[in-house]
Amino acid sequence: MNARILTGALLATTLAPSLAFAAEQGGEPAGAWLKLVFYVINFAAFVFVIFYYAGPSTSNYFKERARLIRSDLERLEAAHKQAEEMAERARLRIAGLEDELKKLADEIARETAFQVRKLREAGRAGAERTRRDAELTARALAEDGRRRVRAQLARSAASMARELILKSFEPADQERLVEGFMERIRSEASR
Amino acid sequence: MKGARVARRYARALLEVAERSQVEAWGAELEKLTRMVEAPEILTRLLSPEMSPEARQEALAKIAERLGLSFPLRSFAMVVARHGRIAEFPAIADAYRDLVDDLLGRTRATLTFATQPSEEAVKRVVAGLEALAGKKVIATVKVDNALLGGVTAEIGGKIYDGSLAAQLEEAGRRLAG
Repeated sequence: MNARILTGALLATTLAPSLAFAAEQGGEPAGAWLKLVFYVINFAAFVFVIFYYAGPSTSNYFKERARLIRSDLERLEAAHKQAEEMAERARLRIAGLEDELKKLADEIARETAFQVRKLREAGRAGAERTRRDAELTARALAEDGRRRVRAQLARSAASMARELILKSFEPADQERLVEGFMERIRSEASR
Repeated sequence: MKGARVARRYARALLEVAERSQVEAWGAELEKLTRMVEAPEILTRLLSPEMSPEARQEALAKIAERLGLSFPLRSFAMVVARHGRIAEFPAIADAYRDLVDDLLGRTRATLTFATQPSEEAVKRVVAGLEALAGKKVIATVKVDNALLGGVTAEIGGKIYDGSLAAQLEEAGRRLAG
């Protein structure tokens, strides 16, 4: 690399003044060549000094720079790759999320339908139970009323019968009752 | 329940020492002693904790002597008093009466009439009950107007109700449903 740069620099410094000299259509041939040699040597010394002192650090600078650029490039490539992977993952996830949302929506719809059905059935059962309870209550109330009336009638009848007995009970009635009692005892005894 | 068991044990002990000819007489003496002892003014004193057991026995001995009880009954009364069972005399007398009734093949019945019955009516009912029980029946007759009419008999823990009150009640129950 250094050799190519040096060769290039020497050729340039050698040919460029000759071209310029030709364009000026000659001059003093001997003095001009000496000057040229002087300039060339001078320039070569300049180039040598430059290369000797500034070359390594410049080279190092460019090497470091190249390394940094490469490193940056690699890092950026890695970052780019990572970003692409993340994007892919996000895409997949979004696709999955849509499926999940769809499933969830279906499930909610199914559950809602089930709950509605259940509520409707519970409502029907409640109404049926209320109707049955009302019927039972009504029947019980009616039966209770009938029983009360019968009990009242029985009490009244018993009271009337008692009064009647007390008013018109005769010894003959007592005889008949004792005879009836004896019949019962005899039938018990014959068993 | 325990008192009844104890009373039955005492009664059986008395019956076991009695001869067949004595059982009724001893029963009557036991009844007499019981009636005396269960009179509230005497029972309260006999059971008073202020009275010593000896004084209690002495008091009972005097009662027995005054009632003219036979020696075995006086001795029996002393035994009962010594064991602190004076309060059990009524139960002992009942148990003795039941045991004697069993021994002599008879039973007791309580007849309750609505009106004062004729002797002939009582005899008829007693005859019917004897046929039913297969034993001689000793009847206690009572009158209770609440029966309205008819008669009831309680024999051997069973009640036969032929009263008008019961018939009325039954009719009322049927009418009331």
